[in-house]
Amino acid sequence: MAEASSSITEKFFLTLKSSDGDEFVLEESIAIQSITIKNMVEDGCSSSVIPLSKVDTETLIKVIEYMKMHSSTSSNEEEIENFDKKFVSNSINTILNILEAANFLDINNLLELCAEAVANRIKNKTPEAVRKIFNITSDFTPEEEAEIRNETPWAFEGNLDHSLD
Amino acid sequence: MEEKSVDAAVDYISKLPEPILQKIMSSLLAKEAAQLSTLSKTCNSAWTSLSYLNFGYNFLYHKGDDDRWIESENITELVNIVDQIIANRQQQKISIQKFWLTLPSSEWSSYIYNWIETLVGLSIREFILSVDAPDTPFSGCSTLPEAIFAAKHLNILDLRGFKLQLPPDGIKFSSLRMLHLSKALLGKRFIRVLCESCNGLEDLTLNECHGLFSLQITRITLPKLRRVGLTRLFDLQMINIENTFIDITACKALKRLHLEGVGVTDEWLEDIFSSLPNLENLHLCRCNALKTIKITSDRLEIFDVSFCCNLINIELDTPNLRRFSYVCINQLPTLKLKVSPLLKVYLYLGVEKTLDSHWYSKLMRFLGNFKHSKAIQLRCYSEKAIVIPKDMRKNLVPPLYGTNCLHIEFRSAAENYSVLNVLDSLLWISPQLNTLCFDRRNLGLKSNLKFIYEDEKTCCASLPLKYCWRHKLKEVKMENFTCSEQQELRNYLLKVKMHQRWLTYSRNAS
Repeated sequence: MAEASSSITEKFFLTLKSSDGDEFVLEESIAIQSITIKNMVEDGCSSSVIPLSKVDTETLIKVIEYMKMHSSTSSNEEEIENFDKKFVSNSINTILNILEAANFLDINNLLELCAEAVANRIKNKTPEAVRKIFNITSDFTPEEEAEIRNETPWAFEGNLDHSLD
Repeated sequence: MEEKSVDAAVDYISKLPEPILQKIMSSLLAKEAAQLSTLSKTCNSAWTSLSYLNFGYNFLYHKGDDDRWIESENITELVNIVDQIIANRQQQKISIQKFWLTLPSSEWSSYIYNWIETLVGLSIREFILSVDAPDTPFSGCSTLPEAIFAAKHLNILDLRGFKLQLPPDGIKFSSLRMLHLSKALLGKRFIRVLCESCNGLEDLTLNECHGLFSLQITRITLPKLRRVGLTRLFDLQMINIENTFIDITACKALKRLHLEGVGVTDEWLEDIFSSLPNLENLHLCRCNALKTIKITSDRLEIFDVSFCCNLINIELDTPNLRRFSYVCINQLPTLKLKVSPLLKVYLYLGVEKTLDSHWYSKLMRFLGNFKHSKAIQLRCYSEKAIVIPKDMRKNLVPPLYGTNCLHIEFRSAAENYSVLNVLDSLLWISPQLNTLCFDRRNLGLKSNLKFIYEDEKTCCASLPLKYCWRHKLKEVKMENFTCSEQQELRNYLLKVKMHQRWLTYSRNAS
């Protein structure tokens, strides 16, 4: 615990290891935006390499990019806003990977950002289009699906966008 | 562009833990979230226990023939669906994160009463409810049920179209962070008592409220208040009436302040900056009592002034100002600025009457203050506001002469302006313009001109100022102009080139 509190004045560095085996060195003050990492540091695991078995290299690079931007005291609100806007324009595949990583690493802001980005790609689409975009496999029998539709007819009124744009 | 599907054979969505799936659904409207319920069992279960009930603005409406939202024909059925969904969450004892609905009239008050009671019992955190009353918004509005004031988990309360009165049992909003009231009829002492009972309040916005004759916030009650928006408060509009005042000088943490149609005075504003040291963002709109604005602040980053039609003078000593926007109708104040070169300037020149030389000389003096700026966004009601008549140019000094690297973005409300006239005038105003962007909403595109100049050359020192840019100009890049415009611009710029040769020649000859 003493180590964690002294990090306010001195710069400490952590090494994060992706599931692909790549290592990244990051300032502790930046890395502890992740509650998962923060807890590890507080439990005294910071001296060695922190393995992140659920996060691949490509995703980890994005997550680090995000944490650096959001911790820096020099970036102002406008810069952060622009960064976030660009960040969510990543491919849906990348966003879903980051979403999962953010959940595992417990970075609430990033989780919210990605969840909203996913939601934005669902908005105004028919369920069929959403199923295609996200490759959602139905585990309902056709009868069950029809029953659910009948229970919520109000959700299926009005015009919807059938395209996959 | 077609969205690429995710990796084949991986169903990412159903693989997500339910709370994450619900987090995604929290940004969707209830209707959209319910649609997903047919996709898979995971999705269905996430929807049936979803704690975010965003019915949104138009759940009870549909689009009419003229594209306007009108009350749904089956509104009773839809209101009952809202009712059922709330009842269903109550059965499952799910804490409700958010409830958001707009009702078209106050005839559903018995439902509202029950919903509020249930939702407060389910520890509601965010409650957004609007009632669209007809044209006379205040006479027919219904009283907000008292049950809401017991919501001690409530973080966000956003209400429109209610009469709010102090409840006999007091206000127990111990977790309230954000309060937005719009089209409200406020009972005596309501806001004051409310502020005293929620000392965690960070954001207070009051819009179109009646019954508010004074606003006083003292330090002890709201230490966390960061943002205040006071707009169209009818009973606070008049100054010089006894007992009518706003005192927020004790909100030391305040960062953003938005005042609209509020009768604050010059002295009041000056006081604000000495008593609110953390103010970073100030927007003044239709504050017609203001004549002189004098601000000295190291913290101010954004300053927007719009439609304050009696302003004569603005003095800013604000080294960290990033954005200054000024919206004017027909007249401009004098400016005195001490600002950083990083300042971005936004000007809207809403000129309606005929323009005289007085306007243009005022405008030149106004623009001259931005000599050190790198970016100016200019919006005009018509091109006339910015196209300086040729005969006047002889008698005026180009206000932005010597300004390098300037980027101007131009937009006009009247869409059929002449690109050439605007360019010609802006090149006179700022003879070493770097880029000029025409933002053309009607065509859905931005047309750009980029000017590339030769490096340091002092050859034109003996020439009149206004020819300088022509001399140094090496190349112009055009983007997104129509064929005829391109031709026009090319001719214009070629003429300029010839002019330059002529100038060079005549100078050599002498």
